[in-house]
Amino acid sequence: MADPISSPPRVLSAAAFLKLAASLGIVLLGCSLSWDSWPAAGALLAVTFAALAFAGFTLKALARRLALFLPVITLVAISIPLSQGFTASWMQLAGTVIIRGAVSFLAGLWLIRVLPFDSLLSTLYALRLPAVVVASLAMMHRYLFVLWEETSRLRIARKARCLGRQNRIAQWMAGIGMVGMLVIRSLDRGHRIHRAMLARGWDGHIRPWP
Amino acid sequence: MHIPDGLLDTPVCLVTGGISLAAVGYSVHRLKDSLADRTVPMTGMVAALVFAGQMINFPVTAGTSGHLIGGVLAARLLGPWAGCLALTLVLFVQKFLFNDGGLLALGPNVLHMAVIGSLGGYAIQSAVARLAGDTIRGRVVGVVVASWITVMAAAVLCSIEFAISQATNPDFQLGRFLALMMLFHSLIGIGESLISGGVIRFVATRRPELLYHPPASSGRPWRRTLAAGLATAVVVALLLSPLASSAPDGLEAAIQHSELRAAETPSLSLFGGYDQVLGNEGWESWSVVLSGLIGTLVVFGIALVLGRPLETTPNPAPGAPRG
Repeated sequence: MADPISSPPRVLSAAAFLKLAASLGIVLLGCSLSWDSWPAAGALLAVTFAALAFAGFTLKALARRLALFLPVITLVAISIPLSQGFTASWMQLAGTVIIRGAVSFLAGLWLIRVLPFDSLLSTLYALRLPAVVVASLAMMHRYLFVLWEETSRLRIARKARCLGRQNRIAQWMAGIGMVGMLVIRSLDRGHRIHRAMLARGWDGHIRPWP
Repeated sequence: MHIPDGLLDTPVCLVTGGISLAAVGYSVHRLKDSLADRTVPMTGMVAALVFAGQMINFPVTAGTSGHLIGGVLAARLLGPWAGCLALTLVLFVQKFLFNDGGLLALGPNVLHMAVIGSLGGYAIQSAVARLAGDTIRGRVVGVVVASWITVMAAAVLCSIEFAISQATNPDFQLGRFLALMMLFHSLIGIGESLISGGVIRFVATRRPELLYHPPASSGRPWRRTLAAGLATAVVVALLLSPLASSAPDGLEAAIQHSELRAAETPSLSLFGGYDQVLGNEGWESWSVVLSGLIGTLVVFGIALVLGRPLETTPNPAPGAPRG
């Protein structure tokens, strides 16, 4: 969609690229771990914990995130024996899934901490991701929080209207109505934004900003 | 629905990631035709909408709740290509802003929710809506059916990917795992159908102009369909043929069990077997891949030749002189 003449230059930040590559490397290493390679798993977990500590992650914040993640990965892991019976290998298999998932989760946390979303977008753009995809991601990131607030307002309005407890069918109908209203407001907003962009000279090409 | 890292093997993630990349890349290419300069604001906005829509919880049983997935809904609002891109953006932001789902598993997650959800979902809902009539009811029925089928298709595909990842585990039983996945996802699919169908009914009765209306087909649309079908068949043949089981099929097994033997007749086949196209030992895997490619192209050619007499000429416009 964007022609090379009018597109912004694709400048790769070495630091951002290294952070992205390091995170991907840790995930790849983590996903190659097996039950027998527990010393390597321990070393990798120690490295990721250390990296998180250097990135300024407090123990409390880490515990809070792990408290959300670990039950989910444990549920996934213990669903495995349901498919093969509680044979001798099920515990090793479930343990491997938990270790691999935990290493990847911690590496993801570290990446989010050290690479802000706009730096990530610049890096992906420099790595030749199509300009239209990067611009759509930036647009989504901008309006995500606007729609989040819109959703919160719809929720508060719903609570104010019903005052008491609703039965389940009423809750579903209200939820569908909320999503439907969100769709109408969002698409209207999208059309308004498009018209505003056209008024400013938008023709579908991504150009360098001054 | 988000697969975390560690559940699927790295090669499975890479292959599914490659398929997802091809599908999303093709969607971005096709956006030029459908949305043009509206691509960035509308795709970004609908991606944000799906993300925000997923924040609205629907109570299921005590203590648990579900939410919208949104692939079929996005395709119905923006069309299949923009819907696929919007869902991909949602999954991307969920990973890189909220650490939801795996990094390597982004490929399978995009395949299950964006590609199957939006592209597959759009095809199903269009077919159903054509059968049920282009009314609000027809559209809602199309969305309901497409939502349920895409959730089930994603569950089946995920089970197969997991089975391939567990190829070295002798205790793993695909049938049992598949049955469990189908059971859980049939319930999730019902929820997704109710939410997507309800939302489309809500929008279609209040603001029908906001729904996606496909552009009138131009020229010879069958050429694109033909190319897409051939490309899909070739990709499947190239990627999946090496994974084919070496165990005998139903007929061969029955022959072996009943101790029947084919009469010794001179073989007229061009090759000795799927794994002997390249002849030499050690090239069996590449022979299977080449066999898959040759077989696909030959069958495609035969179908093309046989189908030519069935080609219809377009109907003349009403009132136009005949013959």
